[in-house]
Amino acid sequence: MSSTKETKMLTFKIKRFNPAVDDKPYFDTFELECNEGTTVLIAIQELIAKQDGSIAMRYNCRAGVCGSCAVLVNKKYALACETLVLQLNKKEIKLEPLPFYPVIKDLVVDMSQFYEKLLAIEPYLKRDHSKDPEAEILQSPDDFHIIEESTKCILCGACHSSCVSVWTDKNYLGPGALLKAFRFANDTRDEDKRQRIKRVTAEDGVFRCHTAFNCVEACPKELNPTEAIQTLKRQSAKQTLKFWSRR
Amino acid sequence: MAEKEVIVDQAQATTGSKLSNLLSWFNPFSRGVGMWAWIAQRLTGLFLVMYVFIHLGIIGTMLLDDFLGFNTGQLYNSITSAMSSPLIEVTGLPSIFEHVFSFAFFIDAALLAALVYHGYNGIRVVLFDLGIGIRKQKTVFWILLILGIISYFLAIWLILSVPAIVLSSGA
Ligand code: SF4
Ligand code: FES
Repeated sequence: MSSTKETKMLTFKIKRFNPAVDDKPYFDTFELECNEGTTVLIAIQELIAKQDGSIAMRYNCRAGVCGSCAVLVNKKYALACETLVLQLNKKEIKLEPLPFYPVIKDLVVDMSQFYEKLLAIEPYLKRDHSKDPEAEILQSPDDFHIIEESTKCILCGACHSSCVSVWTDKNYLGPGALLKAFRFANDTRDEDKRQRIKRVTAEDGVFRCHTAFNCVEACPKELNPTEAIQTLKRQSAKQTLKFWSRR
Repeated sequence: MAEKEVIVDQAQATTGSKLSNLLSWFNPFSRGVGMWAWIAQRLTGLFLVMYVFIHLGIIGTMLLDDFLGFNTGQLYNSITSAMSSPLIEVTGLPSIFEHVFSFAFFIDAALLAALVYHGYNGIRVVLFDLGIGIRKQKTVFWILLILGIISYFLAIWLILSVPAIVLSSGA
């Protein structure tokens, strides 16, 4: 322990659950010396190394890029690697896995339903590649500006876990996938906009959103999936009405 | 019948029963005003729909009077007078205040609260559908709530004063 750094003893309450062994989730309490550079992730790593090797946690980049470390910190959605424990200003820090997803072990959840919905909106550029230029496909800054924010999504799945419509309608695409749908439907290089909008117009698409803003509240990247969904709703209404008037 | 269009089928991805998922709406974690505004919108909506049916039932007793062979309006009048009779007898107060202690007033006050909330929050939701104020949703909520409270007290004042005006002009 270096004397230049201010340290503080904090209590960590971690929700533990191993479906193979335990009947019910329970809380384990740990004490740890933390300094101003300690993130929630570093704290968990230290607990695993020094106190209890059986805590399960998923992480990868440790820089807020990969989106694999989202957890509930004191009942708020956060990326464990980006949350400094001392800045929470709490003596006790409660860590829980993302709600709604099935728990695999402790803080690790099974996010396959989120990925499946993401794949359903075909999250890749679709265009006639035979006419592509030799070098990269250019996009003007103005065109990029439309989708700029939505490209910052790191697929952490927090928004999906927070959405009440997801909870009560299993097939609803959810804010994460719909934000991606917005991102590709409004990408000027994409040539599949019609199909994309038609897809999200279906029963389990954009119109299941009730604008409760839970996803906005949850997103650790401070994105706004609700705004993207509302834009898709308007585009979908426009396209569908046009389709009818032409018949 | 057209087949239901399913984008992804996840019927098997269940983590809780339907009821427990529904109850978790009320679980206060990582929630902002948007969520509570939405829950209140649903509850007031349900209340208003139920009220319509109760209302139709009571109005319907007018027809029942004829059907049962009572005097015109006998059943209906007895229900309405029971509702507007004072719950607590308070003497020596101006006549306006007598209404305040009737069952009918409590129903009216609750109905108005639900109506005003549902209407104003409805405006908020329509604004979002038009793409207005989505990033300022919390501010929009508080502004409309204040407007709603002002309209509510205005309406309560009208309820209390209008019968008094009508009565005095009739006399
Ligand atoms: S929109 Fe935000 S909360 Fe949702 S997956 Fe992307 S980064 Fe995570
Ligand atoms: S570990 Fe990659 S986002 Fe936290």
